[in-house]
Amino acid sequence: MPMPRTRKRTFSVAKLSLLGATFLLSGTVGTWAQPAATEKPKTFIESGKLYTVDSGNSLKVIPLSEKTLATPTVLYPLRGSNGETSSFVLVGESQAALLSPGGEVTPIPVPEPGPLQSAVVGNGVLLFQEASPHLIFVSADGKHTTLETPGRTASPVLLGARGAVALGAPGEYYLFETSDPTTVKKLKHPFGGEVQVSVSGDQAILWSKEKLEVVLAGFSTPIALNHRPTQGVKPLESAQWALVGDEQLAYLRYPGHALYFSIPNALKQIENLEAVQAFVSGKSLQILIQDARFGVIATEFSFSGKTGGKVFTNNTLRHVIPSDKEKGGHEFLFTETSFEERKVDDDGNPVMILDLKATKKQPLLQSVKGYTAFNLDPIRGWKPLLREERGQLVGPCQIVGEHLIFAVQHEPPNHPGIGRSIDQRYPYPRVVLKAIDIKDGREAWALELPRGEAPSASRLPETAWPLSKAGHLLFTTEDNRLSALDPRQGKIVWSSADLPLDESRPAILEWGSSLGLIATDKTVKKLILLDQSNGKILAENSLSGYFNSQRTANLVGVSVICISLLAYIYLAGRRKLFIRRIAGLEALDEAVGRATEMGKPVLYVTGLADVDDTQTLASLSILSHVAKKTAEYDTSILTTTSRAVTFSAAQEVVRDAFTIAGRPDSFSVESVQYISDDQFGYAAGVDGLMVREEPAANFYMGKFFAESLIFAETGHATGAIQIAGTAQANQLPFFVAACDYTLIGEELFAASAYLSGDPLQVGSLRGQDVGKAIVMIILVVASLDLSFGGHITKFLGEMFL
Amino acid sequence: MKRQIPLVLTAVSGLLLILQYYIVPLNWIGNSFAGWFQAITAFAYILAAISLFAVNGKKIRDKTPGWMYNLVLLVSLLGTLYIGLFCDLLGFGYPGHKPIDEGTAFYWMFQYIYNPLSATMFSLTAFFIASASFRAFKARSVESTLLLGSAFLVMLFQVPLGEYLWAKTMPEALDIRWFIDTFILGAFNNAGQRAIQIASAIGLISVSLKIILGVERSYLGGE
Repeated sequence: MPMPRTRKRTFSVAKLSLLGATFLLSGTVGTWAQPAATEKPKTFIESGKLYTVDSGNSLKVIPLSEKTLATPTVLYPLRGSNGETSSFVLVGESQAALLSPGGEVTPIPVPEPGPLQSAVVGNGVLLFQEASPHLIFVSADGKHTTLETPGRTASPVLLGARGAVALGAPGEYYLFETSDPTTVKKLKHPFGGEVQVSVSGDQAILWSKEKLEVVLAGFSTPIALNHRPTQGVKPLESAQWALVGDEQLAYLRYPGHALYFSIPNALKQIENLEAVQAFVSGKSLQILIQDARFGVIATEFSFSGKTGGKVFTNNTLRHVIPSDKEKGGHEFLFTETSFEERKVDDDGNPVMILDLKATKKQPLLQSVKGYTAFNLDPIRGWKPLLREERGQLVGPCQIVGEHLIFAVQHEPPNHPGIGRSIDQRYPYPRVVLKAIDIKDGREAWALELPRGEAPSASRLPETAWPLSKAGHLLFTTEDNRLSALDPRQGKIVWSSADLPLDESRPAILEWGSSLGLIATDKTVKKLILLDQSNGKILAENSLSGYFNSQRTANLVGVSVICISLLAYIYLAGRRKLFIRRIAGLEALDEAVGRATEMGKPVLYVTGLADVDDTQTLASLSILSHVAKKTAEYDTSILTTTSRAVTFSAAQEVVRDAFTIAGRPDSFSVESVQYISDDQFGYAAGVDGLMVREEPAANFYMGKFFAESLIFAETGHATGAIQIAGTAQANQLPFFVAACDYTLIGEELFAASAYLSGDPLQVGSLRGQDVGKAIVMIILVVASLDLSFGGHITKFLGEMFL
Repeated sequence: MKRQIPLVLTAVSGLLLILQYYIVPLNWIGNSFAGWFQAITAFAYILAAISLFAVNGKKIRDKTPGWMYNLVLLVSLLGTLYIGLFCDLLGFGYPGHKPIDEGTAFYWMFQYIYNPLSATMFSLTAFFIASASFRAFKARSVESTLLLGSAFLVMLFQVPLGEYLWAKTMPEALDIRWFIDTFILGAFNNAGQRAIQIASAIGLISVSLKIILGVERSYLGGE
């Protein structure tokens, strides 16, 4: 049986409020948060822990217990009549508690177990559970009242500061008002079956698709409609509108009357009323619709009875900004616009359409994305205000003070056949901040800061600009600082010192004269306190634990392998261990011998990686053995490297090997050569050596990429015996196809131990095999477990992850 | 002593880097070591450049066969260095611009000399894949016949022509794409690759542990 629509709708609204409150107050990393605006205590929640910052700016964790609330997720400040925070409400998954400024935690009894939801209502906090008839209201003075709503079918719908409304048994609904927090009113409505609630501000309308009436919450008398609301009722700030019948739109002003308008064809096809933007402007109702075929359709329903509208083709609705109720000013519309521009080549000449039959050449057009800002003229309707090709709207579009502030990222032009140059330090296009004066609707300022000082695109907030107490707009810069912008002048007021930020959006907490910024840099998380007036860093406190718990499973795995390796290294000193034969390594001496017989050199390639890569270290170990052999046989060796540090290390290895073999004089500058850091420059250099010097034996050991096959095939063409070894799984097929012997993955790492014959090293080989056996057993057991429900895997996952 | 000090430094550095991976307050050590490595690399480039001049200069001086290539290499190296480093200082530079900015001589060289040369070298891979495949995919045994068959299927259906031909000639119920994705690539190929990767990871741990413990020291030369 499908869930009644009323239930779904009301739940979603309540949940949205909860999410909104969480977003605003919890200070979770990844959001721009504005929590408790109090000088003391500075309290916040991060990853389920409750912290407080004392007057000396040192951080403390407030201990919580299972009895009170072990893992809080939301923190609500309760403010008294003087605006000061008197206490906090902590809410967790299924528990709630009251936190005094002194850090004392008192549990708030929740009548039934189960998920707990919460929302700010007026000066207090409303706690509720979807399936429970109880509502708990915590007032500003910290007192809680449990209210009964028997027969309630869904979560309450919030009415701003006024209270909440909840549907009860058929024909009934409950109204809770903060003006009288000790009672909840039980009222009647005339609808049976599926009832829906639409909210605007502190008003709610109850309606049903089956009835020709709607009811305003708090009243019992319905207002009559001349048709049923076919698509639903859409809330406005002070009224509602509904699509009624197939042809009309009703504008409702409760409890007075409804106005009816004929609707244009585009409105008749609306399937999702939530996607429609509507607001009242002066004496008209403005409706904006995104239509898949036509673009943005703007319709004006004048209360005098006229209907007009415009269609903006090639536009996509992005932001609709109704005028500020207190400050007045214009209404604004922002759309993403597709423009057609002439394609030009690198010299700026237009590219023409390649049509040989055409008598006249036509320029080639390409579609580019930009944006258009409109404002609403009382006479002419929506008129374009700003338009930029290749300008993408990013971040929030929000009225701050007297200005509407938004951000734009300009895409650089594309030239055919020419790659775009990217500055590795700032790979994304620069973010430019712009402001429009809401009074006169003109562009007030545009702030194009130098790279590094410009806002970081990845850390722009999603919905609202964070603001300081002084009304400055806050943003993080590309070079990881926090900057405050004066929204009136469009000038930077202050910029902080460098902060430990990665690409994730930091949470910003506002506490009186100081700002808290929860900065994450990879695994390190810090609370950084800054002075609101000048951005000076006051204190830094670590929020990370000592151990990186995300790497527990990694540590366990590595420990098991290390223990088996250490055990066999120890055992190897006491008894002889058998190790399997590795053909590629057996052939090393044979290859050097062949080069000696032919009187040709040996070529050794160390790969593309530097010495910080273990494959290169393994390669250098094999090089030591090969160099010693070449010195013993008095054969020349050509070692090529592509990294400067590898070159220095390889030089030492080869020189020492020659010395140990008793032929230090045989070492020459050509024995080890640096060729190029560039991948294909290196490939060309090594290929040139192969073709000119014609080595009889080629060794490719280390980390290789696309150049692997170029080496191996050129070596094959010169007739050399070739032995390769790499742990790059993607390159192994090429080596296997083109070389005589290939060391596959771990065999490269085993080479040094195998060649040395040193008992301790041989022990490590046995340890490696045991490690592989352990992994194989784990894979088989895990596969079987997953096939039969995955109980063991789940248990271990919960334990380690 | 010459051997002991590097071994101790290696052991201490290795242990510190492992600790910083798991212990959050020590994370700065990893970043710091990365910075040091950059500094060492900068000095190592001086040695590498000396090697380049020594090796190529000797060949030019001795007029060994192909010495012109060595000359081209040294001229290119010095020319690039000059344009990148000194153009600005000598007054022929790019006021207000970095040498790597679009429109500069350095950028031009990169765009019109370096990029085409790199692309040319990379393009050789296509021919080498063909010649290597020709040798590798021969039905000499049961295993190589299976390899040949799988390679044929995978390569054919990586291109639209394969899909087109299959759709035209075979019934719709026979989904070759599903067979290739699920069995050949998803099962056999994936399992093989992962086996190599897991074994490589264990080998890597083994080498790292031996280096930290000083059991493996041949990378230092000599042993």
